[in-house]
Amino acid sequence: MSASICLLLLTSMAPPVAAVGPSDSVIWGISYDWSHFEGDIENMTGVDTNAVNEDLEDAAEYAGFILETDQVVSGGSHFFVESWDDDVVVTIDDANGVSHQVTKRMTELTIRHGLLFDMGFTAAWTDENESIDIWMSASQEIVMVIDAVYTEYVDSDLMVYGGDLEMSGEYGQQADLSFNLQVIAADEVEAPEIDLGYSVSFEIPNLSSEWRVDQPVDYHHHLSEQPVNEESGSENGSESGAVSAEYEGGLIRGDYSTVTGYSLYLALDGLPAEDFGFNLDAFNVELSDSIPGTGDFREDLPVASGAMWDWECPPVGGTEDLNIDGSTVEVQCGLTPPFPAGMAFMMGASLIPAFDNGFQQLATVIEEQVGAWMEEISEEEAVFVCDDGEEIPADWENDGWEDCSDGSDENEEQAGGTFTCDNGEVIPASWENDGEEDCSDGSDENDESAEAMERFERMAEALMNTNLNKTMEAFAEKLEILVEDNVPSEPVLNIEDSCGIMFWTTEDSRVVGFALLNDEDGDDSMEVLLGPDIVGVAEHGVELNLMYFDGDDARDAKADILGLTQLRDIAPESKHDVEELYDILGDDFLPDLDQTDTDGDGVIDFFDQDDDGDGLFDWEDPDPLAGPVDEIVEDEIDSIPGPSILAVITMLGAAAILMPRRED
Amino acid sequence: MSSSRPVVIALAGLFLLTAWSSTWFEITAVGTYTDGLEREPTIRTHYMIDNSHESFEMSIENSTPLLLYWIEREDVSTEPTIQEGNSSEPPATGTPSSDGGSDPCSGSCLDRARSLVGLTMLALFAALCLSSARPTTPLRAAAALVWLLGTVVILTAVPLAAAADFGISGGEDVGESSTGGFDTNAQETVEVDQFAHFEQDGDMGLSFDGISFTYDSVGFDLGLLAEEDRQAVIESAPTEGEPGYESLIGFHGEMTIGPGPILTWWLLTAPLVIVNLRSHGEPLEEE
Repeated sequence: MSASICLLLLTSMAPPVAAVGPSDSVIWGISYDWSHFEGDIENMTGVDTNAVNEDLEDAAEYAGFILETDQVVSGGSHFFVESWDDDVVVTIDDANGVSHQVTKRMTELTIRHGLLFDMGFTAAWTDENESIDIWMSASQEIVMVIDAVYTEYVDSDLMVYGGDLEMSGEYGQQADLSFNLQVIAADEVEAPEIDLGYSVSFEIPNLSSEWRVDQPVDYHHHLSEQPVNEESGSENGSESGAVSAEYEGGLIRGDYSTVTGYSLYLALDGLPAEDFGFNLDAFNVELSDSIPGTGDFREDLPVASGAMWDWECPPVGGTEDLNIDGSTVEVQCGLTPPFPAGMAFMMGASLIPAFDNGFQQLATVIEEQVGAWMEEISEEEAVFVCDDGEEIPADWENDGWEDCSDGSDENEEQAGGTFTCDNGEVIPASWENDGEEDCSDGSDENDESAEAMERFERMAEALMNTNLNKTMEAFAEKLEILVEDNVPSEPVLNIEDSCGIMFWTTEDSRVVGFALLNDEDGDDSMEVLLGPDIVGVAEHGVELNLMYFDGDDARDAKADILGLTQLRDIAPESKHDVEELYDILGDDFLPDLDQTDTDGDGVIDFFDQDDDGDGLFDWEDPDPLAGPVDEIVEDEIDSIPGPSILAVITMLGAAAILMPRRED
Repeated sequence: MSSSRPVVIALAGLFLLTAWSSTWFEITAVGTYTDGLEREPTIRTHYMIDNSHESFEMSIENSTPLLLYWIEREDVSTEPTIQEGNSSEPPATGTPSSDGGSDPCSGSCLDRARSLVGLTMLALFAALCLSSARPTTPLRAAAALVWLLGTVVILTAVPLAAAADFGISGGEDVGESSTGGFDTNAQETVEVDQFAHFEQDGDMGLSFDGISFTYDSVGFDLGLLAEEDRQAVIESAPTEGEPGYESLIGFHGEMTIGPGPILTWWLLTAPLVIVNLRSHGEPLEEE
């Protein structure tokens, strides 16, 4: 297992820039609990994935074999944007060295994403003497942690003089696949086992950069001054339109540290390696690296910004009132980036050199290796030069035919001599075990690989003579019928009738939220699927577990996830219910499963979502194994070490040695 | 029969069964590129034999600089290739061995060694059982003799069989590796004739785990240099800061070869054999 990268995935560094804003900040965000994913898919599409799994199993049963499959996904995704003004006046120098009196406008971006995915599949088919058993397990883990604090320097007219960015983050991904196959046919058994996996991680423990402009830029005015579009006014007759601008002349500089990790592994067992000349039954190879990097950058930073004031999602458009923390806030509707343009461009300009630096070595390896492979593929065919200068393909040398006009390509002594068949025929040595029978008695093809190929052919032939083909045909036909019943012709929620829209306040040019709307009943009037409480606009009838937060709710939700920096915190294992997968895949899925059952409720801790039975889920329990006091005492009593098997054997051995002495 | 004999027989059976199913022979090697490559890439290998399997594990830590080294270096071996050479000399790998080579048991030495170990264990168990039932001096001596024979088989036959099956014994056509073979034949080994000013040093010792080897080498890998720069390095070893010094490659390897837990379990039968030898109730001697 790729232990080193796994460790990186599990123990990401605590973000140094994570913080909580003041109580009067503007904050909004979304959260999703991936354990509701299958239910939400059903709510949106009408497809019940568990019913489809049952269809697969029923179709297999109908066709005459056993098939079981299941998948589990869990984890959490959280995205929050918080902004506020720090009215303390500070002095900064712009890119020309001119000093300005400004205040700070803070924006904080917080992202936490952790995902655990497991799927399993088993199939068992048997005929009279032949059988096929398949066992497969696949898993994936993803973690992303980003904390960015952007300090923008503005004057009283919201003209921007520059910004500072402090950022930390990590992205990690790991995937594993195990595949076991057992085929019994023609009285032969083949049972290969393959495990393979990879992991990559990219960590930025620290990144800081500074942006200063030549001339103050006015992109905040895009959200405060409604553009006039004389050609096409909005339906309600108000002035509307889009506005955008590009600004040159800014300078960004900064430094960063990165850690890039990767791991690849492949384990093979049970392959008929000896049949192909390898004296190994099991082979396991792993490559891993963790590449630290540091660097700095300094470059021009062009910035572009814009807003579309005339973007509408009927009935939402123009100005609307939002209910936030019991107060009504008038907002402008339209499209614009969720955070200031300066922050977006600074993040892009800072991350690119850090990313390039982190992946430089790895990219070189991949590039060089792929280049070498391509070279091999495109390499001109090797040639053999005859004694008279004629050139022929190299593999024509000593092939039994004189291809050079002077016959110099047929020189058996130099090519390794001859092979004498059992019946006395003599052939070039290079023809021995070349996959073709060159001796009339076939004695030149007698190596183990040829025997293995023959064995495989016998097995394949034996399988072809069974009911396997008919079984698969019956399975496919039955599955088609069963799945039809579980897949609606029309999705419950038509994505094409959806619309996203942003909200901002014009007096301070600040984005305060967004909404995703969908037309539920086809009346061209949309309902809010995800978003704030918009006065006078109905909520969608389809309830998804995607949560939208603003105001104090968002502040609380953000505070809850701010400290989650490790995969197992964001996506708790206790919430990842793989009990059904374990039932399907058995001990090979969880070979070292701890059988401890702390609360004695008959469900072992690994599958129990409340290990100590205190009524709190493990992921909400600060000490999931604490339990009532009397249980702790019991646990302590249970933990008294007992004699090991080795100790018992040693005692018996000593007794055996000492016994004759006592008899003496 | 003495009252201790059933215990001896039971323990002998248990120990022999455990010995049979444990690891028989292990090679563990760790090799580190100490000079020339960033972050000292380390190769760890573990080769293991038991009663039915041979398995091989390899991991490369800090692998990127090593992969880059293998990719970027140019093969500067002097052997002509078929493309270069207009030569009718075939590549080395294309030469078939029509007589089966010098492999003494056609790749099945380990199978024979396994049979031998199995037979020895059965013989020891049988000898202990027989000498318990009929404790004559010849039978008890036979048990001790079989035990000694088994020890020799475990310590020598299994490793030699593994070596023979791996072709370690007959390596006349294999060039000497710059890493002393510590990075395993599965990898792209670089032969010493591609190095200038190559120096190596090795040592061997005994430890509880088996025989330990250490190996150190250092030299200038000509494959890392442009063709026109190689001669200068061959003629005079560059010092730090001089052109060509970047081709310096240093390697340190440690390898332990030894029997696996089979030996421990086998040795645990020694007290039982001694008990068997010393046990009373010998009708023949009493007579």
